[in-house]
Amino acid sequence: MPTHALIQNVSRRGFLKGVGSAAGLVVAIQFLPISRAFAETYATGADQMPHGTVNDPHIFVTIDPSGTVTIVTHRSEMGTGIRTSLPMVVADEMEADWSRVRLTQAPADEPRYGNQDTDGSRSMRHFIQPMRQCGAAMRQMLEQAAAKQWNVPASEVQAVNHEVVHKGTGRKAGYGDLAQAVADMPVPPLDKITLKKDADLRYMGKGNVQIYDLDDIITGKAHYGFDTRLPGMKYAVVARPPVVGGKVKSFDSSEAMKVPGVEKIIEIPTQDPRVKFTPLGGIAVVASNTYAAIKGREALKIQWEDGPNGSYDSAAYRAEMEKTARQKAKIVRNEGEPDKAFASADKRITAEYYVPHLACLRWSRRSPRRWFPAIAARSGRRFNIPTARARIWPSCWTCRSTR
Amino acid sequence: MTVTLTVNGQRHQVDVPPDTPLLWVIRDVIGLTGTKFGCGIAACGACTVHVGGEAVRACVTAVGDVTDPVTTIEGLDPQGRHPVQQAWRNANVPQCGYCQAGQIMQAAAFLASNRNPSDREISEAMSGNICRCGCYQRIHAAVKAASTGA
Repeated sequence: MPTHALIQNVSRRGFLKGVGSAAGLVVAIQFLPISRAFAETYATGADQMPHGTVNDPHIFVTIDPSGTVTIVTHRSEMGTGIRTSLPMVVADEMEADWSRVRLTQAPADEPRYGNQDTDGSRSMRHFIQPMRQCGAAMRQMLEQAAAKQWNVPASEVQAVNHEVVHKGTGRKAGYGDLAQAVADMPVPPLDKITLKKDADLRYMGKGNVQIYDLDDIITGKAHYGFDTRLPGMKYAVVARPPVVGGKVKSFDSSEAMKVPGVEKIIEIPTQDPRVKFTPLGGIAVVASNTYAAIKGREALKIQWEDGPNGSYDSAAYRAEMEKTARQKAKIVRNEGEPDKAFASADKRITAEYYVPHLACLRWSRRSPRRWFPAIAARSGRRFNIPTARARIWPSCWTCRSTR
Repeated sequence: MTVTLTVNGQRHQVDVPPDTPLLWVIRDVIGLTGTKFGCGIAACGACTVHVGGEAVRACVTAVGDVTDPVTTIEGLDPQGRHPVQQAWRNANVPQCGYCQAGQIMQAAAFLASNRNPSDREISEAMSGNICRCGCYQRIHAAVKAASTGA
């Protein structure tokens, strides 16, 4: 029987937490049977996320009188293409021509856009339904606007590839012509929204859409967080604790301050709980250019307090993990009788794979040049920056930076 | 101290210590942000640019040592239609895209010196450029396609 998987708490951090407890990985997976039409809603866990989901086309879609459709993309790009694929879902449902679609990155504003914590590989799983509803609602609004303009029943008109067509007469209205009419139109209620049939989909599942930023990436124009340039801006680098969870015991910045270009040295306190979602802490060196900041960091004299991980032993931890992995496992899902298959197999292959600790490298990401009041408020509190003076650019691979 | 260098056909006089890595001169002084910082120790290839047509890691190249003209991703082709860039488009290579300027510059310099590389030669030439998204199969295919004009 086909199922929708309801998977909860499988973010990478949740995963690490499970591993760290050495009790094996516990993932809550529930398989829900699909016994209803696809258009009906099914649970995904999205509603348990802070600020849940939003499906209002007035929030996500703007149509220009020229016909250009601008769709808000509210999740952070993580290299999975999510910046492109959720708007693509909206475009497909609203019968927009992708070549006439522009994307705009949402500012950090969860009450407006829904949850923006792009982690756990669940953006599509959580948002395909609201994005389909959003696009379908806009399609129906466009049809309604055209029907009203021509004074014909809405059932006689159909939105097809960026225009609404009257079946009887072949009359057509482009989306741009209907932009004004839909701008203030009430959104149809959820029980009046009909999703497209699978056979009518243009983009979803077709593999015919390239990532929106393809050309900018290939020509070096794509804008990532650390590509932001402001008049008179300063550059900072941070000396991080050599041990995760460590903090600064004492430091001497006198030599660092002598490096030409270095302007200020700031201690960032390590917060509890250490690691997880809190800043790691360390010593920030602020300079007139990146290289001066790096040289300044090299000249810092820091005494670290390693903290609880100071005695951490990678080899012992590996041995513990291997021992745990060889123990009898708790069965979470059992399909296809694997024990029987193994027993009757002609050849059995046994292998163990070991992967060392990985640094989840945060490379920088494109960011829209605009204010982010919500995160500025939060980060302002966290870093003791007056809110009105903080502007945050979300970066690539920093799934929570927008939050 | 003033250092003179040519980047993408334009001469620049920059007032920096000569040991400043070329990367920071390109990004912070000249203001071309297409070239990325990844590791700072020539271990990832994100900062790859051409100096005199050769692929170099700009993060460990002192600007004072640069005498030949520098080309960055912005200057590889005026229309962004270098054969490598075209192959990259056709193969939909990038995911997040952060390493891609380095990958493209590495591939372009490599193909200029070896017009008909074997698969092994491609793997070797590209092995110093890492990709966090793991686009390696498409990178390889695109380099191959660019070499054959496919």
